[in-house]
Amino acid sequence: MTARNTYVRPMTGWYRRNPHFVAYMLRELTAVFLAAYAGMLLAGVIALSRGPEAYAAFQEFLASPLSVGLHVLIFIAAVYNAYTWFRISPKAMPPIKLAGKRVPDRVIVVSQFAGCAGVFIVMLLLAGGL
Amino acid sequence: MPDRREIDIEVMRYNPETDSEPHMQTFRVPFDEDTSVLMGLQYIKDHLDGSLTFRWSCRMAVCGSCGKMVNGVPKLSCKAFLRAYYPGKLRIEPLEHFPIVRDLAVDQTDFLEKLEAVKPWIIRKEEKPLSEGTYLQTPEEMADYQQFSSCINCLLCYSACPQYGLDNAFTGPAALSLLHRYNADSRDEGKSERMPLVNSEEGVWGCTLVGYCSEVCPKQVDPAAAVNRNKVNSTMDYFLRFLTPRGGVDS
Repeated sequence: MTARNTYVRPMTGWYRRNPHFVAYMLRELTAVFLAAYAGMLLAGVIALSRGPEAYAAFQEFLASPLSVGLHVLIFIAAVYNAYTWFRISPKAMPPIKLAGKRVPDRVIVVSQFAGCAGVFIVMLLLAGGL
Repeated sequence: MPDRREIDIEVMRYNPETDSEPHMQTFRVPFDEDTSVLMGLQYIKDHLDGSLTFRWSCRMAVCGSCGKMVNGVPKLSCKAFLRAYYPGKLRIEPLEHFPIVRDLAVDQTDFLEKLEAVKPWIIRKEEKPLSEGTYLQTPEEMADYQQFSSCINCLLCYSACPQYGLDNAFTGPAALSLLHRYNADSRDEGKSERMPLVNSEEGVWGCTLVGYCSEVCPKQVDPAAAVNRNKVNSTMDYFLRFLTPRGGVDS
């Protein structure tokens, strides 16, 4: 067989070509925000270990407009991250069988959202002092 | 009154003997309610330019030969219809992530080698003689793998997978789905032969769950599920090797 002069197309800008890839890249980007939040928690623990003054300064930072803005951004990113993973989680787990029948993907997805909503309500009630 | 609408089909052309890179060429094609994208291409070949090169065979979404990029989306051209794109136009390109041989025909060699590497056949430790009859299976056992056996090797999932496009060492959605199809088959005893590939970087761990493969699959195989369930299997295999004398596989 003669050598074939094939053409390989470049991948430049592939993540912009399709809405599905844009959503995927956004999902991956949310990890940066989640890491930032983990960093913030770690900073709090370090501040606590350094004594009351350091911890008071950390609390002051938490109350600043910059920190509140960051928390709002991180919250949105975390919700989007959870939403995307809840939607695809049936693909990442072994099939669940109830009475010999496979639980449909939709039921798994919906029950995750329901469970999350339930925990959120309990947290709100607890925070409200009930 | 016959329906006589016309639509512009922009086709990627590449002649390996004369071109250094592909270019687009537009053809005006008549169509009616029943004209598939494939029939549009056949019209071009029959009436406008006989040199247009593309693959097809069964015309009914069974053979998996006629995959193309239609307006950037991997599609079986026999299963997509021109009416759906009217009054816009179509841009037809060869399947993404594969080297173009000529016009819309791509080189599938890489996939065929990957398919062979997953050993897509039933492996028995010891074949039983014909006199003992066939290997039996319950409907429940069959349900564990049936959807993954629907793969027609059309390669749409590879064109939907940026991980394969960026690094084609990745075994990819269809080959891993077929690997899972045999590992999940109660008659098969070849899991230990396939796990090294599953566990490797080129196996399931090359997947970042973009998930687009499952959306474009024309046979509802759900390759993303096959690949990601094997991340669980691969993890179990890794930890069980410390706990069991046989190394976790086939357990």
